[in-house]
Amino acid sequence: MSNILKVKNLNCRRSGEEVLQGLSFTLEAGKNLEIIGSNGSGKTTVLRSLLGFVNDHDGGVYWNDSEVSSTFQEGDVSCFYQGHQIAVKPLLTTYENLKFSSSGFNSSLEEITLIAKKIGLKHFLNRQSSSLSAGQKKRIAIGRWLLKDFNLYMIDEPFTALDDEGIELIEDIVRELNNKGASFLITGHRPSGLNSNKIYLDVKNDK
Amino acid sequence: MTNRDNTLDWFMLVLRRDLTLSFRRSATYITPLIFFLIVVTFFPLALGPSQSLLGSLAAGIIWISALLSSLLAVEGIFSEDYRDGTLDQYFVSSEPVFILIFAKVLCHWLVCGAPIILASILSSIFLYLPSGALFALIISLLLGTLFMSLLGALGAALALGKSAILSAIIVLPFSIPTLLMGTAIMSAAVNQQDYSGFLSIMGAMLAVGIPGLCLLTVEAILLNYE
Repeated sequence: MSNILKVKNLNCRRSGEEVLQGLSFTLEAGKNLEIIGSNGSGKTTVLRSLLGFVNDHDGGVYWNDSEVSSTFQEGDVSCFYQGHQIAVKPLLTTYENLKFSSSGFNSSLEEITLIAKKIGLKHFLNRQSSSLSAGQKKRIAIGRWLLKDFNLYMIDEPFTALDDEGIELIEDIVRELNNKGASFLITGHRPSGLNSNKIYLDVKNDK
Repeated sequence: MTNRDNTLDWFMLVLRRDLTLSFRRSATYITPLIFFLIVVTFFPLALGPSQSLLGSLAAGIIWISALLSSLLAVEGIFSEDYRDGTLDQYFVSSEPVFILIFAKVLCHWLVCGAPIILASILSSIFLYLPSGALFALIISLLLGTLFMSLLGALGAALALGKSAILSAIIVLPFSIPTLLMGTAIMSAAVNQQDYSGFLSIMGAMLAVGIPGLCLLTVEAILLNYE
C-alpha cells in the first residue's frame, strides 16, 4: 500500500516555544492513525503544521511519497480538515450547513437527505442549527465527511460532545471510508475503539 | 480537479451562503443603510434648507456618507468565518481561494453598497442635487462602492482577529483616490461638463482592483495563519 502521509522528525513551535519534538509516523492509504495526548500536548499544532496553517516547524513531510516544504497545498492529496471549531453556522439549517460546505456544493438534495438520515438528523433538515444541541451540531460536521470522497481526513478531537451512539456512528463511518481507501488522522484524549495505530504525546512541563 | 463549471458552482455556493446569512441577520444590511440616511439628513438640518447651498454640497455629502457607511460592515466579511473554522475548511478544500474572496466582496457590495445607491437617489431629492447630475451620481457610486468593498475586504483581512475598528482605519486613507474621482465626476456633471474621462479612470481602477485587491486579500488572510 502507498503512504499517503509520512512525517519524519517533525519539530513544532508555537510563538517560538518548542511544543513537540521528533515526531515521526507513516500513514498508509485506508489506515488510521490516532494522536493521543492531554491538553496542551500539541495535538492540534501537529495537524495545523501539516496543513501549513502553522509554519514554525521543521522536519520532513511527505505527501504521497513526495516531499513538500511546508503546506498541504503543494501535495496532491485531497484532504478534509475539521478543527475544534466545526464551522457549523447557527443561522443556517442542517441542509444548508451541509450544502454550503467546502465538500457539499456539488451534492444533490437526495444525497444530502440520505446523509442527514445516516447522521440521525433527518427530521432537522430544515431547522436552523441554533436550535440543535452541541452533539447534533457535531453530527452535521461528521455528515460533511460523506459529501465528497477525500484521500485523507484530518479530524481534531471528533469524539468530544458525542453520546455513545455518536461514537458508534463515527466508527461506522470511518470503517466505511477506510474500505474506500481513505485514511484518517485523528486526535483525542484517550484511545478510541477505532482500528488504528496510536501515538502518545507527552506534555512538556519544563517551561 | 477544477473545471470551469466547478469554479462557477463554487462561486455561486459562497455567494448564496453569504447572502443567506446576511438576510437572516438583518442588522448587516439595515445598519449601513440607516447610518447613511441619518448622516445625509443631518446636513439640511444643520445647514438650513437653502437650495443653492445644499445643491452645491449635495454630491460631496452623498459621496462621503456612502463611503463611511459602506465601511461599517466591513469587519464582518471574514471575522465570523475565521472564528468558527469555516475559512480553515475552505482553504483546505482545493477550491480556489481567489474565487471565495471575490464572492464575499460581491456579497458585501450587494448587501451594503447596492441599498446605499438606492438611498442616494432618494437623498439627492432632499439635498437639491441638480437633476441632470443624478445619472452621474448613480454610475459613480456604482463603481465607487464596489471599489470600497474590495478595499474593505483587504482591510478586514489585515485586521482579522483584531479590534473591529482597525479595518476601517486601515481602509480610510486608501479610499481617498476613489473619493477624489467620485467628486470630480460629480462636479463635472453638476457644471454640465464631460465627465467620461474621470469615469474611465475609475473604471480602470476597478479593473485593476478586482484581481489585484482580491489577490492581496488572499495573501493578507494567509498572514493570519502565522
